[in-house]
Amino acid sequence: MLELESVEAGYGAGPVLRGVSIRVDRGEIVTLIGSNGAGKSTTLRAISGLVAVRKGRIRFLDRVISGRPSHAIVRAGVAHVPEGRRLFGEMTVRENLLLGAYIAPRRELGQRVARVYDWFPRLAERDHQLAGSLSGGEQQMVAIGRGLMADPTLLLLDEPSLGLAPKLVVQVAEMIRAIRDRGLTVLLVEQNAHLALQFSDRAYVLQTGQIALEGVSRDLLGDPFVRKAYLGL
Amino acid sequence: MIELALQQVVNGLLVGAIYAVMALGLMVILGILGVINMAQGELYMLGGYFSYFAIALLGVDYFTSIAIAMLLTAACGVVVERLAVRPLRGRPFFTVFLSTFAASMMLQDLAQIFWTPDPREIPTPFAPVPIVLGPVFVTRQRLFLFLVALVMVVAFTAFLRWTRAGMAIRALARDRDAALLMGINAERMHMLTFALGSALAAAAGALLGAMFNVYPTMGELPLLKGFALVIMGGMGSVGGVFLSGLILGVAEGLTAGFLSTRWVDVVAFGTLIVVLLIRPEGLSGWGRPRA
Amino acid sequence: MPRRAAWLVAGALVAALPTVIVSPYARHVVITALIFAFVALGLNMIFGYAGQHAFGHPVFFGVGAYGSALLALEAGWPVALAIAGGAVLTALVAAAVGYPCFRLRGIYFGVATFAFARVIYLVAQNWVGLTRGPMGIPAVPPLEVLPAGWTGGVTLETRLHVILVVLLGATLFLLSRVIASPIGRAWIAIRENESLAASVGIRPLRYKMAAFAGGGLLAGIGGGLYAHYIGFVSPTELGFHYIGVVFIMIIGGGTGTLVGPVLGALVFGVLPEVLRMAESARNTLLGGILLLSIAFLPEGLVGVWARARRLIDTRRRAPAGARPEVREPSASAVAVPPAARGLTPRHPAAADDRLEVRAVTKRFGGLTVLNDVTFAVREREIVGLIGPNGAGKTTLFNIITGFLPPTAGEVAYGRQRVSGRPPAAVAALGITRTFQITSLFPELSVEDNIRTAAHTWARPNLADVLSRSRRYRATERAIDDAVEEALALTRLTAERGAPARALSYGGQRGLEMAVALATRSRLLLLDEPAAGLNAEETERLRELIVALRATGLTVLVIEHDMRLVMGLCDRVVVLNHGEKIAEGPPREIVANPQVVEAYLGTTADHA
Repeated sequence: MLELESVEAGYGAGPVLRGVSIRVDRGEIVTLIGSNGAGKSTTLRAISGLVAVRKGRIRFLDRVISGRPSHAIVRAGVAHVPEGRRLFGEMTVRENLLLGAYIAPRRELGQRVARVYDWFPRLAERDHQLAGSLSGGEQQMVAIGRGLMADPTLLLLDEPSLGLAPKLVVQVAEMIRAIRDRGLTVLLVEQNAHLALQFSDRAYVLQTGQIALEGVSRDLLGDPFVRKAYLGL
Repeated sequence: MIELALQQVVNGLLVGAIYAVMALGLMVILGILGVINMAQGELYMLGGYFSYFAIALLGVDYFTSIAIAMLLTAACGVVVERLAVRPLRGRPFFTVFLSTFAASMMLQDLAQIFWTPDPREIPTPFAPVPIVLGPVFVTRQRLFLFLVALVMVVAFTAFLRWTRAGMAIRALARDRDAALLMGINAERMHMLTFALGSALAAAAGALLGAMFNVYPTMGELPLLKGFALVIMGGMGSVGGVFLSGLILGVAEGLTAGFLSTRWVDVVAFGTLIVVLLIRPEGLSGWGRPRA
Repeated sequence: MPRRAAWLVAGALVAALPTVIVSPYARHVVITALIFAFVALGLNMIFGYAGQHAFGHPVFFGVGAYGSALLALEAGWPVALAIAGGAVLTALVAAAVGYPCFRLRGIYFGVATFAFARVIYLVAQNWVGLTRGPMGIPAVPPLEVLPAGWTGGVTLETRLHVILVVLLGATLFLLSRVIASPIGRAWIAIRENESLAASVGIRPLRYKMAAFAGGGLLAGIGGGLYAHYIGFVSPTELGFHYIGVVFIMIIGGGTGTLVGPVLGALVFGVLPEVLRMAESARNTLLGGILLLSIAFLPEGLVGVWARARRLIDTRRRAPAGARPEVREPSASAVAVPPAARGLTPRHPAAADDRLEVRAVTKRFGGLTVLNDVTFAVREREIVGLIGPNGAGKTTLFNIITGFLPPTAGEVAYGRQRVSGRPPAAVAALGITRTFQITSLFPELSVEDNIRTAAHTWARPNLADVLSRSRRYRATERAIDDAVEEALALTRLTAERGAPARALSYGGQRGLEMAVALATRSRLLLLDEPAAGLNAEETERLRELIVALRATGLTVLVIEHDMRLVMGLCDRVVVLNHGEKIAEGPPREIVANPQVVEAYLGTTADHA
């Protein structure tokens, strides 16, 4: 469904991604792990069009999306939940969700909001609260909910566990599983390698802008190479 | 003495509200596009002229002429955006500033050539009977203009708050990347923002133009005062800008009443300077524009 | 042709113009253009060199005009003295205006200068007692520098023309000395990267004020000349249109060079005349020219010339390919340099030159980024600071180097409190840092990038700069030595003349190190110096740091490359979520289960 072919991308002088090739098939949860600065977030940003792809191509559902503006990529069915959640803090939970469905026809809005509240009943209670006043876990739920509002085919999640207490992290991980079970495909970027490997099907290990290792997540869980890669050894 | 002061205060409030309308137009363009629209004064001027011509040539009433002026000027604003702003995307911010400055100079000139420098008077349907409120006189005209300005501000706020496009615009100002990820088409929103800012300028021009006169260079000072208000009120704070507008209007009114009309404009800039020194970030709002 | 000769020839040609241009009107336009060259040079100082967008600055042209006219008429000063006096007055007014404006940043600064310009205009219009109001001041004494008797037969205009060319030439000469000195480099540094400039000891406000007031002085000279030439001053000289004209001159001519504004003044010099004469369509003309300049001359006329030259140069050179990266015969390791003469750390070594971080805490609103962090770095140690993303490492660096104040706790170096001081002051105490994201002065050459670092130990003095005194030359030689050393250590000698932005990524990182070294600091804080480097470059970096320690430096380095940390650091401090979770030699740290967990995260079972 999603293919990155030898993608090179970056900001300014230094290239961050130096020839990354990734494949995500329908219905999978694929995770991208690696140490800091390896280029994980940049990969997602290249897919969603926030970062220009200098070389190589990105294909989604057999259509080339690299080089197209972000709003077109969203319309194609890709939703990106950015690192750090990036909610609109001064807007209410509902407004944030509505913005997530910006591309949706007006009549479907109510439906979609109801669906998200189905998923995250706790949010329904916070409907009119300012997003900035919610706890970390709730904010993460809003962020993911906002992504789901666009009714995407592919969901890009950037470090959903960042800043969350361990118990919440597990909850979020289970949420992601459930989302996949309902038919979405997920590409997940995570700092917390162990957790990511537990909850995903396949994994890619990114190191200084290149794929250093790939495989079935379960197999990689105990792999000493992963530990080395993370600690830069 | 007190009567004079009160009278000037009331007069000032009315003018101040209209300054605020002008300033809001500037603010939204600056906040969303990060562009200082130096042509805003000329869009204000066009508003005045379109209103005048709508009445003179089409025979519509004053209220309708304001609406027509806003529409036509919004269209002009979009043209300015297309020609003077969009092609310069990625160029240093100062280049865009100069570009709109150039556009402003040319528009001013064209107005002078086509419409001559003679001032025009916009006829308004108000009897010159003043309403007396205690020690203060208010002409019907001024009261109406104040109400229209108020309606504009409220409508603008409502638009930003309640409509989808308004939310999209706010999102873009707050966090551009996150907004793009919502599928918001930044280019289209830029166009809309410019149209909105131009419409507000046009309204201000049609309103103040009816109170005073319409002439080609009428936009110079309101432009600068508008900026002063955006800075004083704080980027993104409609309330702050409106309040600052009222304060400015009152300050000008009192200066005109007690000192002399000659020093009125100095007050505007003097106030700006004082505010900048005391509180460089203005009252609340969106924070610094991307500059 | 050597530069100086080229300038003299050009000057002679310009001076000889009256022989070719005969029509009095054309001559008049040329004289006006020459006068405006001063104003353009003035604006260029603050806008082109120091990079500050002072929209209202050209108003000082008008201020100089008024100042000079009033001194001549009211105080009876002779014209030449009045012009000089007016210029000094203008510089003072500029300083008074600049100081409050510089408290603001970005557009706000520019708008503030504009507001002041408007106020000055309005004051001139309304304070009739001082300025005679909107009608202006007529009958300003004419510019008559040499008595007619001295130069028989030559018309007033020609005399004026030649005097102006000479005066302009002298001004350019002095300006060139300033630009090619640490002062000029400081301006460019501020323009290119103000934070980096501050961290190498350049105090931004001081230099910005100098450029603003200095530019005001030049504009004031132009204004004075204009007033006495035209014989009339009015508020128009303080208005919008002159502001627009002067900007067109420097943008059309090319900012950031000395030639540009002069060229722009000469080419667009016809504009002020047009303004005075043409009433209708003058704005369309101005606007159109401005737009055309923006569209077709993004770097001004100077840019066109430079581009043409580059085209010619690349044709001439053999097609050797792109800028070659420095390829060293990498076999040999870096020999430990003998006591590096040029780069000897500034302060004498003291036994207790420790860096002490004591209970440092930092909160942003409700978020605690650093919590009670304590550790020390002893003299000549190499300590690594590691931790996962968001652990607070760079924030800690920012606090140590003065970019952020701590919410609680303090940092001391060599027994002196360092936290809470501005970056330039911290640099002066002997601490220097590199940045996580490559931080350089892109338009300066590699050499000049390194030279700016000398501001931490060699502050320029205007008198020395202008006169090129012995002391100045000696200091420059010392700076040259330091630059040579730094270039050699980071293997950038071959690239010294290239602009920093043209270097490869590895080269740029090396340049950052060179700049840090040239500050001759005792304590180096390196923020991810190996980021983006390949194995070979990383090894060279390691060798360099070890060699530097041998010459007496202390190093604190943030890194993710554990291989580098293992091979380089004596001790390692580990941060996670803003707290110190471990400290010790690298081998211990890597085996510490808490550290491993911090990096790799917990599994669901351990949650």
